[in-house]
Amino acid sequence: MSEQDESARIEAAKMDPDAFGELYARYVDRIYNYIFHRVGNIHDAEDLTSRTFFRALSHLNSYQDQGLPFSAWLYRIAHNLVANWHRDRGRRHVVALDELIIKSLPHEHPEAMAEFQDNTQQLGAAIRQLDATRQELLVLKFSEGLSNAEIGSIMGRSEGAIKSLYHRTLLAMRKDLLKKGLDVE
Amino acid sequence: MQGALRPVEPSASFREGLRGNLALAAQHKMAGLVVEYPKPFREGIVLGLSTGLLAAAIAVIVLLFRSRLFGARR
Repeated sequence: MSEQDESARIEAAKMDPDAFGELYARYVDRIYNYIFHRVGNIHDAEDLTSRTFFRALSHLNSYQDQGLPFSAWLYRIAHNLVANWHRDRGRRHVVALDELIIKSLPHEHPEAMAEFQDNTQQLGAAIRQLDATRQELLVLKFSEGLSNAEIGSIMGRSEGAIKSLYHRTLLAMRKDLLKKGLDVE
Repeated sequence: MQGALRPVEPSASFREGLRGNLALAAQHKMAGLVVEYPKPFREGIVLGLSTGLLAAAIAVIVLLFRSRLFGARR
């Protein structure tokens, strides 16, 4: 869908329930994926995903195109809901990334597969050591494939700040993984 | 990094269930009603019980007041 098509869809969605359904279908998987990585369980991921789209529907008339994709607005809503969720529970921002580790790889040699899984688990453990902000950055960058500009708009930071945070995060993780004896590229 | 942050998808039942709820909410919005996230069932029970208890307390107070008033008149 081109930017013009999306803008037209958004304007149509303000007047037509079916048009909002198309936007929902386009973004529900991505929003759910982002939230799941932030909260670590299916129940809360489903609840917060539902709340995200209900809030988007409720405030759709106030949405204005500011040069960023509609998805950035949805991610921002989801980000705020997840932040409230963490605050209300008073818990550390720990994501159960164990559930996201690749369970099996078809057609792989068993030893190579075991080594890959071990490395991935160590990487997951290193990500879990990070603070919530850095975890969110990695989720948006690698799981959602967003650009630095989009991530900045969601996290309320400039593109330059995101680039800087990203490089500092990689350096910190590399140092941690080298200490554990993991090969790092 | 992408291996450690493998994308996950919602279940089909959740996806379709939410689609239906949103379609209904969108129709309510078109009709001028307020769009709200459905409150959990448990909260509804608590609200209902609280309202009932409050109404019962007010009724008891009114009855007591009236019985004292009629008693004083006799």
